[in-house]
Amino acid sequence: MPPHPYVLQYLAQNYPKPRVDEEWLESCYEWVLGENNLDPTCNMSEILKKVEEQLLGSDLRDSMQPNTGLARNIVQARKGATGAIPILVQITSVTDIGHSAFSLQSVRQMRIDRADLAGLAEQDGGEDDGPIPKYPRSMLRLELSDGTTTIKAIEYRRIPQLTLDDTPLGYKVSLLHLLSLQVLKLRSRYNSRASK
Amino acid sequence: MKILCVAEKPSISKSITQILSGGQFATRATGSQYVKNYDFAYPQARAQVTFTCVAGHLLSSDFDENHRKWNSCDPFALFDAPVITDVDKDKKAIATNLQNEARRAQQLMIWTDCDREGENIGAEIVKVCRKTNPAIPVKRARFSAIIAQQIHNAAQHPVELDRRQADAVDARIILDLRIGAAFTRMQTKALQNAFVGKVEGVVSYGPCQFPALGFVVSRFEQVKAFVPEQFWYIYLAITRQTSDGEEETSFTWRRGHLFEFDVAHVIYEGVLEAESAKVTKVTKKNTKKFKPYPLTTVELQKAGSRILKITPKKVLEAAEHLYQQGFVSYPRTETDQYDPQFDFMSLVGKQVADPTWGPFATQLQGGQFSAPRKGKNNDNAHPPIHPTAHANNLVGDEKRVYEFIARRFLACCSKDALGFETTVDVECGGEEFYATGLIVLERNYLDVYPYDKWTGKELPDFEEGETFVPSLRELRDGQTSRPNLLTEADLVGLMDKNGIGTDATIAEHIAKIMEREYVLEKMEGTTKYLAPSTLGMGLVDGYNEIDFDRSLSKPQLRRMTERSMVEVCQGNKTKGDVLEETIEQYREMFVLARNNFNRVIEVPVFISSARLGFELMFAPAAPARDMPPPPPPPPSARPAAAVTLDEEEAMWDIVDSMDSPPPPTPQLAARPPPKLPSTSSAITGPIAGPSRLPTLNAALRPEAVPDIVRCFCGRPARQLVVKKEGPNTGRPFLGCGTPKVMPDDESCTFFQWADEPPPTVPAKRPYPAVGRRATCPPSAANAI
Repeated sequence: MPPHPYVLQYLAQNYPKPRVDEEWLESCYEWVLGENNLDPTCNMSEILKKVEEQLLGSDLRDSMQPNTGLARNIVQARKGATGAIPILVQITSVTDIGHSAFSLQSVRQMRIDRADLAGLAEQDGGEDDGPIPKYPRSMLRLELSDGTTTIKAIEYRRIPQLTLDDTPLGYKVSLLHLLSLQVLKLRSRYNSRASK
Repeated sequence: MKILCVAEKPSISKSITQILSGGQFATRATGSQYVKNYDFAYPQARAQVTFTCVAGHLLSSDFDENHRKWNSCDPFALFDAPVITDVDKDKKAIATNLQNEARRAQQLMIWTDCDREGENIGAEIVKVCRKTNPAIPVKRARFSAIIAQQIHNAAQHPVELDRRQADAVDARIILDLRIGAAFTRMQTKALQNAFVGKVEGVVSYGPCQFPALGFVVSRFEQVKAFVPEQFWYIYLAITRQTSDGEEETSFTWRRGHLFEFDVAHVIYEGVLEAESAKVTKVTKKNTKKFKPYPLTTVELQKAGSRILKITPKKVLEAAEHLYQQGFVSYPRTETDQYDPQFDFMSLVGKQVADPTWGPFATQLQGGQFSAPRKGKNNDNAHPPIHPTAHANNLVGDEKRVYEFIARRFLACCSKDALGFETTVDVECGGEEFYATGLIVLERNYLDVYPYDKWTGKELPDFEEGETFVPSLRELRDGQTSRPNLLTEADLVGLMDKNGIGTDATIAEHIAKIMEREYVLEKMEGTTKYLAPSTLGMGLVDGYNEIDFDRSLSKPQLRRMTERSMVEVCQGNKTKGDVLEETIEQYREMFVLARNNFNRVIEVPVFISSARLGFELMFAPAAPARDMPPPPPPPPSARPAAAVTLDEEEAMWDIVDSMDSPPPPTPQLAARPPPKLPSTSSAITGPIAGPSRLPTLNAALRPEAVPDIVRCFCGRPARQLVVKKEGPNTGRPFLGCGTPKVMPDDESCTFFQWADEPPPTVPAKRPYPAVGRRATCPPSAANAI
């Protein structure tokens, strides 16, 4: 069943780049209606919310039309900026380049050990080892993808919402005014929506 | 009334007698050459006192006849075997003396040290005395320092003996006995069987020591696996006029450094292109350097080890000796806060007499006094360690330890050091930099505590809003440097933080693992580091291969036990409960360990060591190099022929290569790796070990290329043919050379195809002379 025009309009306004793939949208829409027993005539806001949720939780390779987001030649461009229209991308990789791999690995190992013992901790009467260690934070380096093109980016100015500890892969980020210098893109401003 | 008082050591009974009797006492000999009885009158309590002592624990525990000898039973039975606690045969004379004196006394007063062990010894004394005087009432004297005021107070206001603390120690002793004995016997036998003729003596296990060893091995493996990483940073500097002439002021990049060249370079270009730098902010404010916290046992040991270069065990011994002479307070304490009513001034007054720090003490009296900081810990038993009297005629280690304690106390009573700090924030090319200057205004505590340093640094004048052209803008690089092996001080800290051992026992455990040669000392410059021996590492790696719920070599297990002890002290659990729970736990682990011990034997460290004939198994510290340190191993790969020696050599090379001079590029010290938990335990009960086994069989050196292939037992391997149906039917292979008479006979797990050349251990990758970056994708560092 083709999606209701309101849905299309909403997506065109809020997620213009890249463009949502029609086939994906159709099956998503059907699923949303069926799963929650929603009726377009009276539950439109609920439907919109759910569709958006699904979109932000999806892999952009599946849910977006290819080459409708980042410019194909963005990787080659020496200098420039993306336009004023926000581009939705997902994080495919994140690491911190301000700290040595050694220190990151140590923290990771501690977190693994702590997780292993988490089950046992209750049996032991709630051992207080202190809070779970956090990764040290300096400058994040990310790889972002709009479903077709992947670019490398660094966190030029600190973006507190992104962390090595919690940010899952696939987290959606909306890019505004991406500055590009040579091989790397520097993000100067950003606007993100939560996603799985 | 006649009171029998018993102290823990002869020197203490003498000191206390001096105080209580005012010097008027009579001495009597006893059946023991160490113990004397002192008689005097104590009118303040309307009593006649006999003061005597014991020499540490009176009783000792061991298994009964059927289980005492090594081969008398299956080690597994030791978890349930009956334990007999009786007077130690060396202490019979002391016990007899107590019993004789008890007969004639109307009250027994315990004067042992006021800690858990002391309560336990007190309980032992009561047990012994009640044999001849079953109804004798018992009291306990509490004191923290052997000075007149406290001792008289203790004598006149005695309390009850704390049975719960005594129980906790009982539990610990039994656990250490059972667990220690069972595991020790099991692993010694297994190792002896696997490496026939090469294992000297007993391979002991203790539930506290093993995790301590675990820490040392962990750090060693981290250091071994370390790969230096290259990083880049932007260096900005301006040369300006100061009062001393022209000076270059360097600014630190706010980002610190980056591990990716492309990114650093791109940003650097931005900085280069900028015409000038602008001063965005100049902040001037007062700052202070805090004086140290009051002194605990762990702090004393760490400082003693790091600053005075005395081992933790010796530091504690020296402190104890000082305590017995009445110079310092009880040195076993976790408390780092003073009671508000504490009388600081009189103690400060006592230090005025000292030629070196006397003047400082006088200043404190004259108004420079400031109350000590409050830490977070209070064991409610003893105050922080402090000097109780001035000591004049000390020598050697005792003198240095006393000096440290005195200086620390005076520093605690001083003011914090005050300074004036200027921070200049600068922006250039979109990047932020800063520089700081410091003027030390008042040194205060630093004058008496030379162990802390604070130096001033002058900064030329900068105005907010000012722009300048930097004289230098460079992209510099460096390399992360390898973390260090643990020092004794580090290990003390780790054990304390992870709840292994108490302030009293930590030093003992460390001394034990060194005595048993699981851990060896390695000198680097003037610092002593700890490295595991082959045996130590093999055991830890081996046990790690076995899939326990809670690893034996990590601290969680022991920490749980220590916490249970605390529960017993507080009355939340009974001794019986704790014993049952813990024994059950370890019993399960024992079975698992025994059934899977082959994994311990097959650990790479042992295998390569076996080929070397175990020369390094109990090797003393790595060959001392008094000559200039050797250059780092050359980057060329090692030839495959020397393959069997690689693992071992490589291990020691790594340890030795830490002597090599630092590389020319500036280094960034790698952050200290996170503290890994570990536990250790002491074996207190006697373990009857076998008499010394035949020493190393020198004929088994593998340097002579073996044309006889030997199995792990050392015997020539037997050639057999595969009988089982499958792809290898009929193929010849080599197996264990020990003849299997009965089906249960243990044989080693040696295996090698006879129609192929023997497998070789791949040569160890040499350390690259150039920095390497991790090649795994960045996502490898992601959170799970």
